[in-house]
Amino acid sequence: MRPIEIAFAYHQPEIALYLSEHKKFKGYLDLFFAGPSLAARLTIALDNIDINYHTVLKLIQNLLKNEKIPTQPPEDTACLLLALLRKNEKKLCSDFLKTQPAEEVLRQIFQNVISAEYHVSRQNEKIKDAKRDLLLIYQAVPQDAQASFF
Amino acid sequence: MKTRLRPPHPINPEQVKYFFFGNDPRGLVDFVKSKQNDLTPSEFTLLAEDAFLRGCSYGGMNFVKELLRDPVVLNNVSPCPLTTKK
Repeated sequence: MRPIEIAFAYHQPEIALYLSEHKKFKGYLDLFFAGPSLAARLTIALDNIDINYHTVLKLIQNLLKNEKIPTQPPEDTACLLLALLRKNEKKLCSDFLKTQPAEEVLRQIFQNVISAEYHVSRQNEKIKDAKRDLLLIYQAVPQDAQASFF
Repeated sequence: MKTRLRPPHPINPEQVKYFFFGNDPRGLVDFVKSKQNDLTPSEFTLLAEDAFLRGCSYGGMNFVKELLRDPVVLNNVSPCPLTTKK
């Protein structure tokens, strides 16, 4: 494992953030993010009350700013994008989408949400959540891609 | 029969963990540096890398900053260790 991955695996996002800004390490951010588990961990960290939310946001910003983030696997990047949408981090979502094949990632989210809605169709609250997510996704799609996507 | 002057792995990397127990980042840096002349370059890199990765995992920010502040340690840690180099 690489240092930034280790820091994150051991619940040390501040150290991961520090490394992401260190001159020796920042050129390797694309590789740090290559593992599917880090995207998943970032998603979980956004909702973990024991981890400073703004630290996680700053780390994601650094990851986006310094290197091109690998687009695979789309399930993990889709989950991270959806988590950011739910947090109303529109600017970060927009920056994120610029580094990803928007259509592929959004399609993945769309499928996840539809699937969730199908499985919980008898739970009104969940349907509300799913509809809200769909609206957020729609708002996040670049206008020129909306026609082909929906 | 020749007598081996020193064993192939004179430092057990596990030794570095005792500095974490004592919350002594400067002591860890000094310990790592003090072994530079006793180890081969590859062994020394292994020791520095081990200390650094332990710092990243459970040492805390003070350990990471102190280790990276020292040029000897900094030059011997890799952002992409083992077989994952660019």
